[in-house]
Amino acid sequence: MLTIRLFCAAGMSTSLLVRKMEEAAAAEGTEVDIIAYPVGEMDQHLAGVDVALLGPQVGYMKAQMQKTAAAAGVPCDVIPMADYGMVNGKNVLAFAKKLANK
Amino acid sequence: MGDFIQNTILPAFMKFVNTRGVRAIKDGMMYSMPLIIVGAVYLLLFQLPLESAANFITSLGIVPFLAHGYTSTFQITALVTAVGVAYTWAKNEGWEPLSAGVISMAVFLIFIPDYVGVTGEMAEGGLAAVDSATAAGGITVAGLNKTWLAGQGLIGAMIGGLLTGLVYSAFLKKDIRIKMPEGVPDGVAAAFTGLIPAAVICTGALVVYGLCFVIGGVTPIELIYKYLQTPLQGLGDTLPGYLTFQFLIPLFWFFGVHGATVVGSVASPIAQANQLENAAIFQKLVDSGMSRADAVAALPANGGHIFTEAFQNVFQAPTGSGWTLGLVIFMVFFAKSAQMKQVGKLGIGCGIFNINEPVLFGTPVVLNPKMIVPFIACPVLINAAAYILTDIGFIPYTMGVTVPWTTPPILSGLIVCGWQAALVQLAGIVASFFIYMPFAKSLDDEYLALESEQA
Repeated sequence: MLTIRLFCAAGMSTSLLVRKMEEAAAAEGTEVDIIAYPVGEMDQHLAGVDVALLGPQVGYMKAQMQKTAAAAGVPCDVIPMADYGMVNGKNVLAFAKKLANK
Repeated sequence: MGDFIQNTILPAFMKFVNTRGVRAIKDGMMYSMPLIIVGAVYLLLFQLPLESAANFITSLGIVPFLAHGYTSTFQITALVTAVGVAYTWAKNEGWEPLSAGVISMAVFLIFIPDYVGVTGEMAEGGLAAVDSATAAGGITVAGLNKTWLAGQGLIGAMIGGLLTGLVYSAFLKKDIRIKMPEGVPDGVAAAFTGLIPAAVICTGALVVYGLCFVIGGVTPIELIYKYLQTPLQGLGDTLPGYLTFQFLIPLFWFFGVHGATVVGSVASPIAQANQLENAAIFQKLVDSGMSRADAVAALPANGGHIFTEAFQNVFQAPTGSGWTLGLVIFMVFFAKSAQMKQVGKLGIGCGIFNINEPVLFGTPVVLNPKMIVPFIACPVLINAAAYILTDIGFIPYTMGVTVPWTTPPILSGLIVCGWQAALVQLAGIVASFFIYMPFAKSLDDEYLALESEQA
């Protein structure tokens, strides 16, 4: 089971990506638990999480958010712009897996 | 040039945006959003623009209750902001946040007049107004002076919240608190955490209040309103001021940064205060016996503002920052390249709800020099038109009714300002199609050439 949390400005645009990632995971038979939240609430949503991904539009907060995530022992990085824009669930899932080292 | 902005200007600006104070204001204000939306629905119900519908609501006899709901939600925004700002500050610093919020609420109440004059009608405003009401033969009663609980008190609430957050966190950081012996339950110990900061902060606020009262015969909130809030509100509420915001949002987005969030950290407090003030003016006009339509029409002459949160929600970024629906329509119906068609398909659903990240990152608009001209021109031109059309009286001023920013365009315009705004939104969408078309066409040709090369 891979627990992924996505964070963008309001948690809205990213919810579209959540669905595509779930579809991609189902297609390759990976069990996932993916939810999107506003980036301001990240500290409350890190317990038991394998990897935290940031939308590119809040990439400017990367350093600060990586610190927050690191404190909870969660790897955190920014989703590549093209994959995010094309809502490429498969690529983002692979990106998350690599980051989580699972 | 791009590197210079990305590596030099942007980090400096981000440093400002991410300072503790700006973050506390930005996130702290969010706590009043649900109350504002709920209150706006009550307001809409008892001030329906359609006369027959309004008469129906009146005949039901529920107007006083709706009005009570409205004043108890929408009209306590400043009080909630006072709590939210200090809460967010303490939370971000890693301290128990609710105590900070509660202390900040007390500070805010200390800053405002604690009695109201009654002359038959309640005296609005500060101590001088209360005194003159008393002098005119009225009486004075203790009570929360609601004038200050919403728009007029907003900046004062933020300042109180910031100072409370700062001092509270400093005390806890230096570990100046009453310590409980081992074995005392956590809940009990937590109740004492805020005791010393509360005593110091509230006493400090009282000293400020006392000095203002004795020296000037005013309350701190009145001074803040006059010397800080009023000039700030004027700043955003001019055509150049408003268009500066509209220019900066897509500019930030061009560099991949969420422009609305960044610019909003400066613009939102002003827009919010303006909006609440419009609502208060509208209410006063209606209370004096005007009809809804007359009161809205009288807003400009009575100090109403064009630039409000509701106005922003209608015109700033319907279909997403940069008014990208025109671009999406081109991609769905006219694009030939697979890339553009795909982005169009992804973008149209969320675009209707004013979300356009797939378009911005998928087209891409971000860091794409081909798209920067229409991406900035669209929102600036359409917003200039909307501002001017409001100024000359075609679009009615907003009077407090607002919608969540995800409300689809045309519907949002219709609810907030009436058919005039909906029409301008529709015209904006059509205009955005023609502004984006030549640029999108060129990009489409480029992708098509690339795709046939790869095939």
